[in-house]
This record gives sequence, C-alpha cells and structure tokens, in this order.
Amino acid sequence: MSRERTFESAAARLEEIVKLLEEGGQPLEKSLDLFEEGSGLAAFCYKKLTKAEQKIRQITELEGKGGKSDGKD
Amino acid sequence: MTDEPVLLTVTQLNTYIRSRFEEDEALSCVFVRGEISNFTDHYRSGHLYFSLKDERCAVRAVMFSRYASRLRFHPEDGMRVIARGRVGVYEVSGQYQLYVEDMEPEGLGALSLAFAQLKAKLEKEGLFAAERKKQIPRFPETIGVITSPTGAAVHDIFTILARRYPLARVVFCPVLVQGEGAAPQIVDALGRMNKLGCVDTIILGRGGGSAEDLWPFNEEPVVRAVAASRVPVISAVGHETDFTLCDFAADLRAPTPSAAAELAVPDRAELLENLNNLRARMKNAVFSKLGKERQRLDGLTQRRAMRSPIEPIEIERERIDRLTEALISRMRKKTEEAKAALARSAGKLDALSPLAVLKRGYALVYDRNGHAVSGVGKIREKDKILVRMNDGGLQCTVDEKTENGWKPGKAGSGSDEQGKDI
Repeated sequence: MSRERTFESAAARLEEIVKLLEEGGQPLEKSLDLFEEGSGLAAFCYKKLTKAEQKIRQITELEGKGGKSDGKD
Repeated sequence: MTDEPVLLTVTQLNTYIRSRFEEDEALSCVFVRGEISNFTDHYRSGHLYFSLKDERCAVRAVMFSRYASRLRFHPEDGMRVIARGRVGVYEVSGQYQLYVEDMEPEGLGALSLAFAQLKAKLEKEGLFAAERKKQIPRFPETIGVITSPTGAAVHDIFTILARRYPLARVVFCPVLVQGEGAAPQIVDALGRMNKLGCVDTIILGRGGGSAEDLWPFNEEPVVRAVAASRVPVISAVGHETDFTLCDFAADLRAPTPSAAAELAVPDRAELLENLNNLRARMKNAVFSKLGKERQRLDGLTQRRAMRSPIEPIEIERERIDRLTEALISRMRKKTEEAKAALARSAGKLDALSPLAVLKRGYALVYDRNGHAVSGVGKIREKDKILVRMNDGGLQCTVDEKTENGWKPGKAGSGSDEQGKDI
C-alpha cells in the first residue's frame, strides 16, 4: 500500500496547524507558511469528502490478490 | 398359567416388565418436572446419567449422547428441569428409568440458560474485559462487513457507510447468520478478514430475529473468534434489546446494524462542518496574527520618534545643553581650582622671585650686554651698566670701583646716583 497522504493524516496535520496558529507563538513568516500548508490540506480533505464514492468489494476478490489489498483499484 | 405358579427367570421377568412398559402408550412420551441429582457426565460415551426428584420421590434418568449433544446448557445437580422422553426398563438391573430425549431448564429457556452459563465461563476467562477492548479507528480506510447477503442488515450497512463516509472501502464477506452452518462460517469470515491485513474495522451482525435465530452469535467458537480478532469488531446483532455474547466480546456493541455502520465511520457532513470550522479558525488565527503585527508596527510608528522627526532632535539638544552646562560648570570649577592652585604656587614662586627682592629695595645690575652681574670683578670704571630697580631702570656709568668691600663715596661725586642703592 503506497503511503500517500490519507484523509486521517491530512486532517490530523490540519488540526495541528490550526492549534499552532491559534497559539500564536509563530513568527509571521512561519504563520503564513503554516496557513498555506493548512489551506492545501483543507482543500485535500474537502475534495476527498465530496468526491469519494463508495467501493464495495467481495472478500474473495481481495483474497485472489494473495490476501493483501493493494489499497487502490 | 393362571392357576399354576410359573417359575420365571429374572431375565424373563425383566423382559416381561419391559415389554409391558413399552406397550404403554402413556409411557412412550412423558414430560417430567424434577430436580437433577446425582448427575454424571460420562466423559467417554457422552451419555448423561442422573436422577430426577421432587420432595418425595426420585427416578433414574439417562440421556444418550446423541440427544445430550444437542443440549444448549450443561445440566447440573440441583437444576430444575422439564425432561421429555419415554419410560423404559433397564433389564440388567430391573430398574425402570426415564430415557430423556430433550430437556429444558424449568422457568428459563435452555438458550438463556446456556447463554448465562457460557457468559459466566467466558467472563471468568476475561474475554469480555474492558482492557481487552480495542479502539475503533476514527477514520477507517477499509471496513469489513460480515453478515448475510440477503436481508435488510447488509443494505442498511452499505447505505449508511456510503452516505456517511464513502472514503472507506467496504470488503464484504457474506455468511449464513442463522442455523447450523452459521457459526463456522462466521468464525471463518473473521479469520479471513484478519488475514487480509487491510481491514481497519469489522462490522459483524444481522438483523432482528428470534432468540433461536440469533443463537449463532452466542456460540462459543464465534464469541472466541470475535474476542481473538486483531481487527476491532463492532457487533450488531438483532435489535436494541437483543444481547448476544458476541456483543460482550466485541470491541464495541451497536444496538442495530445501522447503528454499527454509524459507529464505524465518521459523518461526512460533520467532517465538512469541522473542516470549515478549521478553515475559519486558521484564517482567524492568521488574520489576528497579521492584525497584531500591524498593531505592533503602528505602535512603533506612533512612538514620538516616528511621529515627529524634530522632537528627538530637541530632546537631544536639550540633553546636550544639559551636558554642556554641566561640562561648563565643571570646567569652571576645575579652572577655579586650577587658578587657586596656581595662585598658591605663584605665591610661593613670588617669595623666591628676585623681583620680589627688588620690592624690598634691592637692585639688579646688568652689564652692557644685558647679562646680570653678581660682582664688581668684571666691571671696570667708565663701563656702562644697567640697574634694575623695583619700579624702573637706570642706565649708569661706573665712576669708581671698589673691590673687597663697600666704601660709600659721596653721593654727588659721580655723574649719576647709581651707587646710592648698591
């Protein structure tokens, strides 16, 4: 399974960024960088949530692949 | 055979008695209520031997293994039961007994008793312990669903998963959920889901049904398989009021299959709301940060130095003025001190000065080259000399010279008055 960014990791990082920004301890420059990163993550999460379509697979289909899912189609 | 006594063997007697019992329709199927005593579980044959008794009487009973194996509870001494069977005679001992074919705990259904018993047993083993419960992942990527391919449950689960969190892929393992074959299929399905390695959460369940229908979810191998699953299991069997042992063994119990689907995944609508919330908070934080920075900047520019460039010069001038004054006054003082010191030194110097001597009436004599002379030796008569006195000088011509002592001549004997003071 490729370790691309998951919704969970993106959401977690986004929350972390918001916390960092709200604490306000960052210099302005860094704050703007974080804001940019956060905006990207938010867009990613938004897209995931709105564009995802459910995929239902029979267990036998996955077992045919040696019991390991490739995590993709 | 009526008049003459017939001599019978014991076997003949017992066989006769047995046949009489067997002919009796009433004895071929009886329900007997009683309390179990002298219970023996023959571990090899599987036959159960016990007595049924009430306050006054007791009767021997046997339950052969082919019937005993269907029991869903373990009979124990003291247990009150209703037994169904036939009455027969055991020829070997001439003892009549109850051949039990089925047995129910009195008051309690067999299922509920079995449930209670298995529950007690597994509880003792710690299978239901809270510390065994695994956390259900908040954002599962793959959900395993084990249920019947027919019926409302599977449809409900898929629909809710699709609506709430379509990000999660669903792996479906259809199984029988009731009847004989159900338990082994469920156990197998749990094993396969675990083996896949990509399943984050398993939903195991079925829709509502009779206690009998739900029974597979109370069977020991199923309960053990649920407890043993490395992947967290949400169990959802029947309706809200139905409790199965799977529910106790599972990491999370859902009242219904629909509820299980809701517990398994986050809600997209909530996530979107949360996302918007996070976005807004992020913006606020950055804007407030910018605002603060601007304020800080404003604060800096509003300081007097930035507001009017003249002021600091004035302040600086004032400062310099003050310093200058201080410097001047200090210099003055220093100068005064120096002057005083100088005057003191000058006084001392004055005392030593030959000029001071002149004041006291002495005079200095210089030759014509301006060199002071301290004796008459180098001066000859007719030489021009200079006499310096306190208040002026005299140019004189030497009329007469006396060596080795002072012999004052007549004052007017010379052409000048020089000698007067010398």
